[in-house]
Amino acid sequence: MPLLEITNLGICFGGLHALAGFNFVLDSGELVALIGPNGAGKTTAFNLVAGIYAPDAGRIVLDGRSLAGLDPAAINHAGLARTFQNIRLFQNLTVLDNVIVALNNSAEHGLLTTLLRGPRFHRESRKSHARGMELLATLRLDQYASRLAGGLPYGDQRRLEIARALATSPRILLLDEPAAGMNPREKVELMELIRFIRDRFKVGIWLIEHDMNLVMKISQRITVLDHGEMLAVGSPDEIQANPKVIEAYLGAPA
Amino acid sequence: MELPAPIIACRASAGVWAAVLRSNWLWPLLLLTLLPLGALVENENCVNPYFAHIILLCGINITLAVSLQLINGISGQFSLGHAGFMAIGAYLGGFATLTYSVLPADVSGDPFRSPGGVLWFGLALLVVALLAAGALWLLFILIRSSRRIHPAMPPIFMLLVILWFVIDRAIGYQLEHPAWYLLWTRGWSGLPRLLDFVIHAGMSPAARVSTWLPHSWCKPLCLLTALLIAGTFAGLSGLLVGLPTLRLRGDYLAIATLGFGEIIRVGILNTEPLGAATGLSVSIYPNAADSGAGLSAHYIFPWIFGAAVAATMVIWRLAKSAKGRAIRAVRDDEIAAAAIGIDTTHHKVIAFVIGAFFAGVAGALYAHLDGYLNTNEFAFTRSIELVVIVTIAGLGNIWWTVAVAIGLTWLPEILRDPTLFAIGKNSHKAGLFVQYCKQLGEFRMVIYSVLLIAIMLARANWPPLRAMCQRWLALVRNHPPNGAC
Repeated sequence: MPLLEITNLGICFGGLHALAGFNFVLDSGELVALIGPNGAGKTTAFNLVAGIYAPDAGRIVLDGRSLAGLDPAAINHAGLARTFQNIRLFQNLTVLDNVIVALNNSAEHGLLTTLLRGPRFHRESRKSHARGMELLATLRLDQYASRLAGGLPYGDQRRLEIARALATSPRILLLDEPAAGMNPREKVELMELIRFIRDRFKVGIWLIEHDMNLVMKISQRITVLDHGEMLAVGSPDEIQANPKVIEAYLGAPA
Repeated sequence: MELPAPIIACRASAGVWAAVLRSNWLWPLLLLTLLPLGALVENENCVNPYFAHIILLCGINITLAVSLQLINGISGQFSLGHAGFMAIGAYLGGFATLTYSVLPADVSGDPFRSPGGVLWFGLALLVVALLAAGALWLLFILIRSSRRIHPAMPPIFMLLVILWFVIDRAIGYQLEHPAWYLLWTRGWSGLPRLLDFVIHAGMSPAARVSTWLPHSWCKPLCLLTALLIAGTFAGLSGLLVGLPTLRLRGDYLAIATLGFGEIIRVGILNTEPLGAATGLSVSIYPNAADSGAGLSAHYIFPWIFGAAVAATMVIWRLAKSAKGRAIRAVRDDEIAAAAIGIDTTHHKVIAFVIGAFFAGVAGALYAHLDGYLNTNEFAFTRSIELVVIVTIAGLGNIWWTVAVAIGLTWLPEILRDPTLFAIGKNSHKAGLFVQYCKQLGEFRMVIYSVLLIAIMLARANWPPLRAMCQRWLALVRNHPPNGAC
């Protein structure tokens, strides 16, 4: 049984079927892509899985547990983390704080411990500080640790968002257009980074991406969406040869 | 590994500052620095009562502004209802000591004798308030579940409840003879009567307990209990208001909290036991030594500044902890905060309730300082003044909030009389200049507003000030916690 299994997922916005009959499986250590033209419903699929919308139909099962209808925080606790298409960092927190705030256990001590500041408080804040720095070092962001997240260069903001998602120790990582707005050199770095994360943290990665070069190089399987419906599923080579996919992207031959 | 000397020195000094700010000894030290100020206030030769009053108002404004900073700056919820929480605290605290701190058997009628009575009043109010909340909740659940019968049922039921309330208020008390709906209309007055019953049932045992206490403990214990009651009920009302309204954002939340503040004010204005439009005189103590105007300045000074330091300490520690980090994360991006597993509602409500608690405490202190309460003091403008302090200080910046609260308490007084601090201004040698300065007081509100605009512009655009703030922030921010370096 796969780690994440989505069957027949669907949602309507008014009369618009934004997504219908969507099926998907993902195992840990896999790297799978979701592509499609603009408005195909890719981000909608992510938002359904991450709990921003509640699905009208279908099942989302993560490790035997149903996620459909849970709120985003509960879904994150179940082991699923995501990044956003338009970067959503905590702009006025430092880079380090952005990561520490996501280490779920650090917020666990109660109000009284916080106010009295006993030895336990200091022990825990030292521990989370060390873990945050370690994670930043892994993603080569440690030199920015005390800078405000809003002031980072664009590519580093993307990396920080991934670091923050990883800090929640997820089993599934959803990346929504991680290469958007990056230059070719940054894209190559990102590709290596995604592979590195998959191998180092043993997570299943599901990404939305428009850069076909990147998608074809790193993903093991690709799902293609168009107008809210699944067009094709298969390996990069199969997708590249699929006439329906070519039609969706380039239009029907005259 | 050898680091260059300047870097080592810089790191060491940053470490010292961060350690001082984080240590457990900073707060007692701060309290010590207040001692000379307290001595000044106590000595009427040094500081006249007018100055002493302003100094005490500074302390109350610090508490209020710092607690609003937690709600508006750190948690990012734009609340305009802080005067409402303050009013709850002021009236409850004032009413408690005024009515229940007098021993029933004491013919002299001296106040501040019966801390047990004050405590019992608080407990009785708590029990009845929880009962009322439970009844309202049940009603709410019933109304909501009627949706299953027909979607139009909940609004119809809501209208019926409002109609019931209106009839009860409008004609219920005009009818003396028993009518079939008398039972019906007595529904609303049941709660006050229950409260009355519970209070009177326990008052004499509570008073007896108080007589066992050493005499010198009674007054501080009375005041402490009153402050805790004020804070608790302000915090509970914060919870009551926060749970539904914190789903709103930005302007909508501001309007909802503004409405709450006005509801509190108008509610008090129509409550006879709280003095209604006449106001509540906390100072009517027939035989008390310090009758006239609340508690004397030198008695209440440590209370007011103790509360200010406690509020600053609690809120500073909360802000610089994992909880505070989560609260600030929710402020910056609620969707992203939820996506990394933070319970956003929980953190917003925590900030709101703690902020309301300290507003209530400040309100109770205000009641005992002035000795007279009028609803006009808790109007919308009061909330605005506090929002101005928080905004000038910078959102989330606690130490600046303290400084600006002090500054903006003095500013109107200085503008009223620009020669406030001038020595010898009353001698007949004082020149024309002093006369002109005094005339300037006529325009004080105009100058006040112009100054506020100028300060805001300078804060945003004056590079040296901004750079200075950022340098200090960078020094303290994110330095490793104790012993981690």
